[in-house]
Amino acid sequence: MYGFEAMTFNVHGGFLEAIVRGYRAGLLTAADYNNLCQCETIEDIKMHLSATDYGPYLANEPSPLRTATLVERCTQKLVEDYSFMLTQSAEPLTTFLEYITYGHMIDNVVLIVTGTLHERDVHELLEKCHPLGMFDSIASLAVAQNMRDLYRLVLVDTPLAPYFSECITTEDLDDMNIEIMRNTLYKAYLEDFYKFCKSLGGATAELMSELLAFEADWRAVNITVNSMGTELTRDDRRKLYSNFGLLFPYAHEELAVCEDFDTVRGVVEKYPPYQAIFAKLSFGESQMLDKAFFEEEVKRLILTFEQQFHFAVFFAYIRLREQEIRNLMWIAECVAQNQKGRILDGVVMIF
Amino acid sequence: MLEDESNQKKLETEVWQCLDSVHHLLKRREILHQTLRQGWMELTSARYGMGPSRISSLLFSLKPHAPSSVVDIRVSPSDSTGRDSGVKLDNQPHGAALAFDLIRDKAGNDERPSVTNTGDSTESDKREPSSNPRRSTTVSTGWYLVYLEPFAYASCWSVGPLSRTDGEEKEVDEIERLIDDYSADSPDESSPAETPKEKAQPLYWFGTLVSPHLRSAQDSFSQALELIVEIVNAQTEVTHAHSNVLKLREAMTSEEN
Repeated sequence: MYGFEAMTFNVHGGFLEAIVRGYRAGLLTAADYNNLCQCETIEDIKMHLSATDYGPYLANEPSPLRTATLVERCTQKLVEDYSFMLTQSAEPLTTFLEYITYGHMIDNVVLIVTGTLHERDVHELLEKCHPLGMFDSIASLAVAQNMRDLYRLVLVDTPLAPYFSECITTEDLDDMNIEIMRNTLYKAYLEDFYKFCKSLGGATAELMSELLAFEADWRAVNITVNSMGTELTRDDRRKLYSNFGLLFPYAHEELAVCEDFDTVRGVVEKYPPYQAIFAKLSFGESQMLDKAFFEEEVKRLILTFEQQFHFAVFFAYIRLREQEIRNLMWIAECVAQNQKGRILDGVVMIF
Repeated sequence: MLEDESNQKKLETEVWQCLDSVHHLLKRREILHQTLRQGWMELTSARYGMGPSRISSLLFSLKPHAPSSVVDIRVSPSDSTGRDSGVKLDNQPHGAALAFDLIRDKAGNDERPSVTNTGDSTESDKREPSSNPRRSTTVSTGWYLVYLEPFAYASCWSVGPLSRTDGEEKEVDEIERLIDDYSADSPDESSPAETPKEKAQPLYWFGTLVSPHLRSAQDSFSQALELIVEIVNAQTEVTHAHSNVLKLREAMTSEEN
């Protein structure tokens, strides 16, 4: 089954595993969320967060604090943690950590290209990019007119280059092509990450395969639900699903032809791990699907910390922080909109 | 005596009408409030699921585009029959009445809402191609169209008390001022007649595969637009009813004296 990781892992990875477990201990607890849910203003939220890991990042923010600023400062904490781990890591952990950021890189590329298509200023777009997904030549994306230019001028020297083989066309960039490009890149990235994790073997391969398979399945359901009523054809939809996961290949064939949410439910509920997710939703209700999938993801991510000597804890920590930031954004928005009754609709408790 | 009674009855009728108008207005405001709250909550849910960077004001398109909705302000000829022809404004010449309607550009409809006149042809036909077509619109009978941004974030609807126009410079200047306030950011738009603009599809600014929450948010804001127009009509009605009540009371008081 596993290799002798217990004997060799700590040589290169022991320090960082200890660091990431320390970071994990700093995640917000249910008591923290209870306090945050009682806040009347965003200033109150800032005050409660001052006693957490986010305290130093929010201390110097002037009032009035906006939700976007709160999210940026919390993201800054995540980025600093990640940067520390990356600089201290050795191979193959370095490559593993870099893989985690490729998703953000794809989002940034799409943001710049979309914003340029809409005649927005590149500097404004760069400020909005996720810091984990930045690379040197990102600003040059604004000059590309089609995907071939995008690849030739900028992306050929980035880690996303291998994922572009299925995207290169000379068609001009428009909203539909950009969306297809985003999903095709992400599909290629997930499959590549999955292959890399498998090659590492041991507990990392086992745990990461499960986590990435869940993500691939979630993406398939998301793409299906979001593409209903759009111009995306069934064939194009099918091409965007990843070639691994519990739903591959039979459920993908059924999902490709789904036209409403209840049909999607019927397809996915056949798989026991996903029955619990759809059991929380009533018939016809697709509104809470995101939260149901986030809750399931959090459960799986927490379980990775039960084992030692593998890299999945790093992936889990980054994802749990992102979920926490999502929670804080939701709470801040509910407080700002005076809709505190809806706070629990979006908060996914981690501990 | 009989006259007093009749005036009294008239006053009561006007008061009831005024109260009905106020009730209608307050109800509409409450529905608007709830609709907007729901819309903002759906938008937050969409940002929660898709990520804050995928839904932000930075993705709004700055390209010139035709709006999907316009507010049609009708100045109908003097009509004493009541609400059907709009609300009367007694300070307007010839007792002209104003009514506001929201016109949506349905999918597949080639008749894009635009600033044109439905009366006599005007200087707009002779304008230079580079000039803003809205600037030169002069209308002899009263169809004034003011653009609405297609998405609630960027609504820059301004409606003022437009007078009925007979080609008078004052009224045209008023229209131009309102339209200039809107078109301040887009001075280089070409005439819609020469380069037809894309129809705005604000949902696609955030990607083609967007969350159902974002679609719900758009529906809510779209409904809010309709409610806003209804509220404007209701407000005008309330103002008119109130002024009628005051006038009747003044008239009765002066008769008693």
